[in-house]
Amino acid sequence: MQLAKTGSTELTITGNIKTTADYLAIRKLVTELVEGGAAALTLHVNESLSMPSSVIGFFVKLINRDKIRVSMVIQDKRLMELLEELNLSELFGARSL
Amino acid sequence: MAAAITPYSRELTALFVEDDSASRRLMAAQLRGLFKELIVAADGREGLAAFQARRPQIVFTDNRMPFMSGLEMTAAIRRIDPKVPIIFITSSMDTALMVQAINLGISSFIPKPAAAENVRQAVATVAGLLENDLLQRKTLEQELALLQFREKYHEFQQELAFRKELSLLENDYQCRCFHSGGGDWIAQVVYSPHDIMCGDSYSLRRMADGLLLFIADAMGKGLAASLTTSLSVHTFNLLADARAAGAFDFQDFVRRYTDLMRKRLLEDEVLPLTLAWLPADRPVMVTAAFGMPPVLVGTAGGVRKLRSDNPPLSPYADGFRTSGHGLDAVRSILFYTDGLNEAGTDDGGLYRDHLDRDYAACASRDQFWAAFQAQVGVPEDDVALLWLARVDAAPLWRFTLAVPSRLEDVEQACQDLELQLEQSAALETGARGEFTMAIREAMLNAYEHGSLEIDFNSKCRMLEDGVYYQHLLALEGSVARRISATLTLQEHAGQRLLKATVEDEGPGYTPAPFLFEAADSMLLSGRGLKMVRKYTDAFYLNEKGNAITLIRIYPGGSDAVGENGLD
Repeated sequence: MQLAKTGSTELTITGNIKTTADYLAIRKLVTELVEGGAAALTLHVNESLSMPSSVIGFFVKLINRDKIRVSMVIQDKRLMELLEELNLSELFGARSL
Repeated sequence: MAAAITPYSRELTALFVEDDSASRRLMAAQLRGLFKELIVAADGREGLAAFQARRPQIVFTDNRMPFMSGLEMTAAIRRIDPKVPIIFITSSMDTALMVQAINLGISSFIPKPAAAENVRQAVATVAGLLENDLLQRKTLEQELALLQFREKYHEFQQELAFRKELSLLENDYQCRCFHSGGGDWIAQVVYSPHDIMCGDSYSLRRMADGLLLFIADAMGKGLAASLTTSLSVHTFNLLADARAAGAFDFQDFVRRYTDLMRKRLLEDEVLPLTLAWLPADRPVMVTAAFGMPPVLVGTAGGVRKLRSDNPPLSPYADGFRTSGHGLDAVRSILFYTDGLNEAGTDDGGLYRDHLDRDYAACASRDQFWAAFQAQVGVPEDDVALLWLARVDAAPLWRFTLAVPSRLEDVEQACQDLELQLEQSAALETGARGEFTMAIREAMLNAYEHGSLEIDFNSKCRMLEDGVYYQHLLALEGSVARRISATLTLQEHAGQRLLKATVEDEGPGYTPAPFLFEAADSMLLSGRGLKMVRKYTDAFYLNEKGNAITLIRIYPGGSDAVGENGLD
């Protein structure tokens, strides 16, 4: 997985999100952005077909406890389907590319 | 005798429009005491403005007035309120004027000069009508409120009844495998009620020496069918509970069950049902089927159909027949209610024409159900199906690893397993990616909840506080437990099974029921098993709860079923 900051409140992930290292990298960069004052984040998820439950849990906390507005632009329809099945697409502001 | 005016008139506001000041004073004095409030206007234009601003419930008006006549004002008021009572006070009895006034819905006329008794009579009539309107409106509102209450009440009762009905459906093998004739099997269910109250029911019970299965489809639909099916499955469960321990006698069970149920059926009622027994020590299945659609048995050679042994159970049934079936070369068994085979397909036919072929072609319950839905959409009847699948066979290929319960090692193990999967070429890339995600979730579950024994609530709390990851790293140093993972590729009866078994050395756990229910978007944790479920055809835990086996099933092998492999 590659993670890049593509705007002041925008992240782009390419490749599959799956390892613990992926989770830690996402958590680190998002936390930095939030600590820098970002109140809203847009995440472009390119290619990944899934999202580990650890990453999901992190974003659920970010939205519900830290009150950060998150939106996700999802490229792979399988990931979109997963978020819908887990009743997360609305919470994550997820939309298909 | 003076006209009696309802006290309700004193709750009303009236508008009185008259251009002649003397008449206005005189009439206003008469009207004022009859209403809560009297608004007075000096011509039609002023009257219309007062009506728009104050919306009185009764209007009294002269006709001949400067700027706007009484008729013109009435026409304008009618555009705003077609129903407000308007009483004309006029000295003219001109026929054309009267016709115009009547066409505008004038409620009453008072000739000028207005005698007190005429005024009282007009007010009594109009106020009485208004009071009646009010009473009717209130009655309607009360009836509507009662209907809404009753609707909500019935809805609530139906939900309660449905929950009760669901509580009668037992599955001792949810996420567990069972052994029959030396083989490992899983039992999967699809339960798709058409109405809130369902006529179908099922039960899968663990007996001391085998699996006892029940599926029923009560005659008709709705409440009556639901009562019969609830009674039938409850009776089955009570009998099964009483015989759960010790050696099981299927013939005796069927006899007792049918004796009890026959007494509960109405004289013109029949009950289609199947009872089946799969003993642990022999590769056979014994059925006592009563007027149910054929049981389908999938083998390497095709599909075997087991027709019912008996007509549907009725109060007049005398005795019963059972039949035995070998399971040596069997890969799956499908029991279903007629909501499946009788379902209308999008092409205007019946699903029964597609059933055998779909069953032969689909390697798993999920594949089969997706194929059904693709052709039927939403079925018009209740559907219940039980899918038993054999999930063990001689391995063609096997890979095992074991690692300490440390996050770094677990991560490395996941990568090794992924590499092995890739080299085995067991699945195409997309399916392999999904299966890998399921394995990762299972490995992390084994690490967090198995080896480190972190319970769900503690995990949520630490995630909330942002200290979970640090807690894992701190805790893992004090735990000496290992996690093992085994990948196998097996072949049996024309299909291949890719299995991943992840085992930890913790005390084991039983997944909380909510993990299988609809997802709660607010929870910080609890999605791992949902993802395992999504990315596998089946998964099951061992008895202790410290090992989980994930399965993907797909056609393949030297004895694969041909496209026309039906018998």
